[in-house]
Amino acid sequence: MSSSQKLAATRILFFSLLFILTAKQRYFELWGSVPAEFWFPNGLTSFASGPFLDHEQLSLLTHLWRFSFLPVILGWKFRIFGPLNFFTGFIVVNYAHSFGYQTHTYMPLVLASLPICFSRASDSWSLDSRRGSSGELPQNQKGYNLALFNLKLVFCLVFFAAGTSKIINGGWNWVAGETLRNYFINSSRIYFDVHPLAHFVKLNLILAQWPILCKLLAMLAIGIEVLSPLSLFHKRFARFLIPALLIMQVVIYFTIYVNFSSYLALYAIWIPELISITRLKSRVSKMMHLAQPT
Amino acid sequence: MFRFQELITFIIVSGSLLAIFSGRDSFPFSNYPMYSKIFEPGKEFKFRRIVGVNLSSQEVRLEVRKYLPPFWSSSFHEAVLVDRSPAKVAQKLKSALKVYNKNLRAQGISPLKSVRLYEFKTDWELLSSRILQPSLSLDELYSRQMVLEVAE
Repeated sequence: MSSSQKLAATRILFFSLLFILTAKQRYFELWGSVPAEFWFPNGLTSFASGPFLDHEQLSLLTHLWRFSFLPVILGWKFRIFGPLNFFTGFIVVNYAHSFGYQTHTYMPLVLASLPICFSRASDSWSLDSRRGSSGELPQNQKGYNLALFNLKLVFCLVFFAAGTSKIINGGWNWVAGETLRNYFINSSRIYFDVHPLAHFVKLNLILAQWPILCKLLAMLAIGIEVLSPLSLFHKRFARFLIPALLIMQVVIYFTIYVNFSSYLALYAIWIPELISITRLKSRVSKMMHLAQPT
Repeated sequence: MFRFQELITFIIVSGSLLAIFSGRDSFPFSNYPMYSKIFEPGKEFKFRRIVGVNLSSQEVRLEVRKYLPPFWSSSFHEAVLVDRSPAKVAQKLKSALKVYNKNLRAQGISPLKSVRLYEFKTDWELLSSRILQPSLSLDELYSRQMVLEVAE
């Protein structure tokens, strides 16, 4: 796959998952109805002294964001709809983070939109490329490669930041102490009104019975988070670390009761990189050949 | 395109490193501090909870997801307590109670008389040793003190 095709595949996967898992939800426009007393701006909304979008205005902006997903996925007039998707998504998601509650599930999705929305992600596998409206193509792959690198950079920095925060705030005590076990024990109480599947499984209460296991899990979590940037430099590291991070987040859902399913859009960034279609086809045909009776 | 992507690389790296080492969020950059604070056994374990008081003066659990969207219980508590100055907390609780009661009335349900903010305390060793007994009510483990009560 050429770099242009990898970027196009990432465009299709990332925005499809981002729409299905995040943008479709009613969650974002509801922030237009939160009382002004809760205003606690963050980022660019710090320039506003109070809420500046009512429910209808926020709703309109959210619909515009949602509308821009289809042309972006299809790669139609990407130079217009790509930036539109980024700016509307930025405002909508930033607004939702301006009332005192910081969910860290949406921030990296907005940041990852930046390199791809302002790239030539529609030069391949798009309506723009079929219609020849992508303009003159670059003579080398550097631009595509750097856009792909920037997407992976966002991904790795998220986990690196999380691991580093644990080290900065807790040091060795975060691993050797009772911190993770404490979180396991308290999560059923704190998140009593969300995630019924996690409450049903009660993995947090099962694991909390083994303090040493909790400490091992703490060490493993910090280890793979802090080492995640290695994935940027060699596929061998990525093939281990990316699935390990995915497994960790699934375990987090069943123990800390935090739903990171929106991050699947970020994991999709790695698919064109780590999965070789040619190798997959060859393995499938080998398996079919072995399965045939002699 | 390459030059622009180089600028984006610079923005991503500098914004992220600034957030990480300053320990502060500035959307869309964050140090992702979730669950990074440590908990030390031997120290008191405390947390705050908001409950409703109905017209019969009975305390009831707030159904935040139903009557205060887009919040759910933990996000509502975080938003109320992000700035712990009593005046600010009281303002937020009053406005939240107004919205809550408006939504209750819209469904033909009696409104709440007030909301109360409590601080709960317990000994971590006691909590840790008894938490895994499914029959145990958590209320038996904590002592609590009312911090604030706000009426509509």
